[in-house]
Amino acid sequence: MMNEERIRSSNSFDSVYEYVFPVLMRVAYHITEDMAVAEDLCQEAFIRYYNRNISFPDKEQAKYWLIRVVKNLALNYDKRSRRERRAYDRVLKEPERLQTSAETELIKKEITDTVQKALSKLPQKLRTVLVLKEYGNLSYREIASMLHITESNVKVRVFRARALLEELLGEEEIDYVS
Amino acid sequence: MKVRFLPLLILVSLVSVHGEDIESALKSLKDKALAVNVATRVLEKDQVTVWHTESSKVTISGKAVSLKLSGDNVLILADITPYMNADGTLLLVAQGEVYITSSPDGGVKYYSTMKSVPVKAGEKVIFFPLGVAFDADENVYTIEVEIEVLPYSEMIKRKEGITDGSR
Amino acid sequence: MYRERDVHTKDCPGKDVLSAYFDGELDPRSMDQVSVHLSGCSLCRQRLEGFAVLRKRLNDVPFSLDLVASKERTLNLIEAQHVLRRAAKRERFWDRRVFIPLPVVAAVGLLFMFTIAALIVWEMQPKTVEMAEIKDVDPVGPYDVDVKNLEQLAEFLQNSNSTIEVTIRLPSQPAFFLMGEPKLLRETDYKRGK
Repeated sequence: MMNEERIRSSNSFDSVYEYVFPVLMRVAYHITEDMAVAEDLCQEAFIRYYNRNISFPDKEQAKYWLIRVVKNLALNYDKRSRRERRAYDRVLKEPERLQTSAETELIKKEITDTVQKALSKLPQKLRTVLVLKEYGNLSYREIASMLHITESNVKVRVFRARALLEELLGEEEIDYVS
Repeated sequence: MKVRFLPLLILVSLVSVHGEDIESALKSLKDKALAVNVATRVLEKDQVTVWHTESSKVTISGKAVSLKLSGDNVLILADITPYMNADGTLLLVAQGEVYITSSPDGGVKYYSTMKSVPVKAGEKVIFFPLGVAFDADENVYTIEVEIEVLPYSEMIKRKEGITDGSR
Repeated sequence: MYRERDVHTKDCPGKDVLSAYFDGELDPRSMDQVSVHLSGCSLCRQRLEGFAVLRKRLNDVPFSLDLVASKERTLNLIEAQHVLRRAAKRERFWDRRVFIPLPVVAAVGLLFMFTIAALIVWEMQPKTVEMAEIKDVDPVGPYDVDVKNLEQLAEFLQNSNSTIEVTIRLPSQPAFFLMGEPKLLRETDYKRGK
């Protein structure tokens, strides 16, 4: 029978969790733009990780596996109309959300940050690659393998994402000032 | 339920060996047995006791003592199950059903409740089957069921203590 | 001898190359070439700086994460999938109030009892339904059991009235009324409330 002690005493799970979870959260959050959803997806990824019981040679490999899972989950989530999903989740999830007060810290309902706003304006293909690069800290090769594209594709997309983001941030700042 | 089954298994072995009723069988498991003391009271305003009765039963961790309080317009069924941990702390699980008729329409009201309370041996817990009004007025009578759980060995000591003292 | 350039020349690597350089993703030879170029080209240095600024801004996005709490939640979710939920931190109270015509009382009462028992035993997931949770208690036993066979056991269980019962007849006077929800209180808590 599984119990908390057994889960915790397995050092690799704990250390992988501590190392990867923050990274995973950022990736999930910047794709879905919803902290609550991001946390759910990250938990789901870790639950799968635990249940599959794969032993990776190192944390980087575990990180890659987990990011890939959360990326897929996040992109699937993203496919549905975001507004529709938010309304749906609010109806279904709200009672659970209200249960734990610790969670209110995590919930950010509105995107208030300029950078995050600009990021959300990027086309999904560019945003995903940039998020994996900047938040997942994955190499071009890892990103290429994860998205089933070539490394040179990754290089171009990262660059385009950055260029577009700079442009958007330039505009945002102008708007803000005026 | 696993926890409840084990005491029954013990009972089976004891009964088949001794052919006694359950209470005696439980009493022979002296260090495992728990005494459940129930004091049932009817209180009027200002917590004055106008009626009371006391009962004491011996059980084992995980086995319920079933209480049935029947009155003219009320029936209260309460299962009190003590659980004892290795460190001697107790958990009391009280499961109750209350059936009461309210005079005008003759309909029956029903409550079911379940509550678990961690307690220390000898610490009293009070069950109010019909609720309790702290700012009671004249005509309100409260039924109070005071429950105390002790290891059976403690209970024996207590009884012996009383016997000695009364001489 | 180097002279700082302030305009782009055809020697300047493309922005996409600089982007890859910034990520350390060029082949070693190209990495060296760009490094050399950068030492003498302030414009390209500025472009690189732009990527660094962007990276910093992206990482500065406010992000509060309570790792401990969230790990707790994840472990709980994992555990909830396999075992009954343990060690409730607070007690909960489950009330039901129903009007039933007198003849139906007994049958309904029995049904409710079984429902309660079933819910306790089969509750596998944390839910928002308010319900008392049984704290994990130390199991009783194992004891050596002297049972000759399962038939004997089954027979005993079937035939014996193995409940411990206390039957109390309440007085006819006074008449009792429902004053509120049934309560279970510790004596100390009760006395404090008075």
